[in-house]
Amino acid sequence: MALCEAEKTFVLHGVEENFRIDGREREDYRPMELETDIVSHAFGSARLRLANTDVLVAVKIEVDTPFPERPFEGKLEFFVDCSANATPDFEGRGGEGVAIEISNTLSAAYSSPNVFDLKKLCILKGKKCWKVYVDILLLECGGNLFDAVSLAVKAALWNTQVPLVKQIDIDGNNVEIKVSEELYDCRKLDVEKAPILVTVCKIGEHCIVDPNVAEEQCSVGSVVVAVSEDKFSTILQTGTGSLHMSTLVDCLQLGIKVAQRLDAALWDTLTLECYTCSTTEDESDTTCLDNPSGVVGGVTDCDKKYCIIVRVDYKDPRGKLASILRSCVDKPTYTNDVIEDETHRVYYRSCRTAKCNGGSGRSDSTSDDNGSLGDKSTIYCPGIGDGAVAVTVSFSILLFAYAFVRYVR
Amino acid sequence: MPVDHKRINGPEETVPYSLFTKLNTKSLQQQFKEQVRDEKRSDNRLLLEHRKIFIKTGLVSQAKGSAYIEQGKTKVIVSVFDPREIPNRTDYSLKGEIYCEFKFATFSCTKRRLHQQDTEEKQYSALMKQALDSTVCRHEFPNFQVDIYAFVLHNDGSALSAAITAAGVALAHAGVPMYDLIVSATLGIQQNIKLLDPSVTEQWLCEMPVPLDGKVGNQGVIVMSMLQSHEQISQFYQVGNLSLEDITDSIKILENACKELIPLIQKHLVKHVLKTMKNKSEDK
Repeated sequence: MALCEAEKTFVLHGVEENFRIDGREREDYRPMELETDIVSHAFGSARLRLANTDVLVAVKIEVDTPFPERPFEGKLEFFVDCSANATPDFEGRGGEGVAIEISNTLSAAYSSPNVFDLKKLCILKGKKCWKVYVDILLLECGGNLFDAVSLAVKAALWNTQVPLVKQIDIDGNNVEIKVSEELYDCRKLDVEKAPILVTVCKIGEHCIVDPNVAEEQCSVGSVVVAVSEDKFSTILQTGTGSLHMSTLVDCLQLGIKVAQRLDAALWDTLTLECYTCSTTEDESDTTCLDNPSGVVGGVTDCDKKYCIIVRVDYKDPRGKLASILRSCVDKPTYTNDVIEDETHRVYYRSCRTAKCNGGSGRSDSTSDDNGSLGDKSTIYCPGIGDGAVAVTVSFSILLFAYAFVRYVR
Repeated sequence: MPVDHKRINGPEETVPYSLFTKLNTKSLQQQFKEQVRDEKRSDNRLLLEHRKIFIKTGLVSQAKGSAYIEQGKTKVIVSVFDPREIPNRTDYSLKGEIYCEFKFATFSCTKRRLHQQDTEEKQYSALMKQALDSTVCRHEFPNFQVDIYAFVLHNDGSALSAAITAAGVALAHAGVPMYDLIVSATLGIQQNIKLLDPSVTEQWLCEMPVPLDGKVGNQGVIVMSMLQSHEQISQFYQVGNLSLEDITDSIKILENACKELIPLIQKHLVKHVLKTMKNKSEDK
């Protein structure tokens, strides 16, 4: 895409007026759409669409030997594939430079143990470790590749299920590992601190985030920052221009602010807010049954896929509550069903939207499960002013209670 | 460099013997304490002191311009070749291109490097290009490409910044038009200790969190290149885990560090010009 001088001036004036060519403000992102768990052969996957930029990330895990100088650590490798579909510029070896730049920046950003702990991928010191391959496929280029890729990578790693190792047999130098055969017996990776990359572009006198292709061309220089919590894990200057020191510091300030907001928005989308509480007939407090939002600490940011209700009623007297449980799980025993035995009637309800398990459990009203390919959701990163929602993770003991109920039954 | 597939690279699965020596059993904290003690470093430098620098130009007779830099034990040769037409390019580009290749000699590090460029070297090449792109007056040679090769003979830390500084000198020696002299410096950070121009061990220790007095905290390495008289940062690269305050402080430290290098390079270039003029007048 080539711009003439007049078009460039137009873009520049827009940035100065804080009203960019697509109507955004300087610190706004374009709308994003995120899907997770869409590649069935991968251990974790995510697809992110940021306006016209489309990125597909799939995570594969294999068993490998740790590096001799780091016997306690697993391995993490990024590979970026720029297909010529994305943009004609990537034809032949045209995308190689971009691919190397992105994968190197990602490995640098994930390299600090404060950001992503490779030690958790170790199986047996010096002998066996997990090697995580993160394959990034650029489906379409609409500007701002770094940001889109980093969000998709974080979502895919969050989605990744690492098989549980049940047994390690050591026979001399031979090490054999046995992996749990249960399909859902998996461990999730800890990606809460995984970095988010933000490209800050300088156009004219101002810095903007999330540039589109036209804006990228007008930029005199840009800075890519990788932010994990309130720290920078990587900073890299891209583009051909140079920056003044004070501009660089301004860019960093803007970058960290936007990255934290973006991270909160992503985390909100990935986790599912569910009511988590329980009550039985013996308890006098019926808030969990009647008004779950009134329960103190009764809402949890689950990293599971479904919010559920399990309600047990007596058959005699008919409809008398025996117990009710609101929680979240990855795979409900029954999606939506009523099971009866001689004395009890058990209602199983599950749904996939935020706080959807607030009903009585008797009716099927919670069910709005779209049952499609994956859980699809749209995340928006608003401009300055709208503070990011604080994320509270407080895992309730009820989760375990639910598991217990499941196994006892 | 074209890849030679016939060359035998040696067995893949070899490891440096140093991993098994007693030195390796020391804890990170011990190793760090050995490097930095009472505001002094193992080679008696202060925390924010450069190592001794030696620069020489015109080593490579085949190249248009070349420079050799020694920064402590780090030794880098950079050569710059005449502009040539950009290969494999059909459209006309208004600005000239810079092609950078950064390579560690196979014997330059404790672990043997391969002949082929690995990802680290490719990353360093890209950073060098980033630094030099905004230094060279690229509009002066449209549709042409200047090749710059940096070759590290001995890596004792801060190899990238040594290569960028040397590349600036080599470009000046080659007579490529530039906006300003470019100098570069590296800073290692481990909690509240900042180490300018780190040696390879110091750099390695700053790349991971080392518990000092029972705490772990911010750590990182920053490489910054500057065009001094314009006060422009042409390249900035940080890895690790640092807060905004740390980085703002580091930028100031690196700016001063770059300022300190300038007179040295200016003096060297003046010397070089005087020598060339003397040689020319003798030829007449």
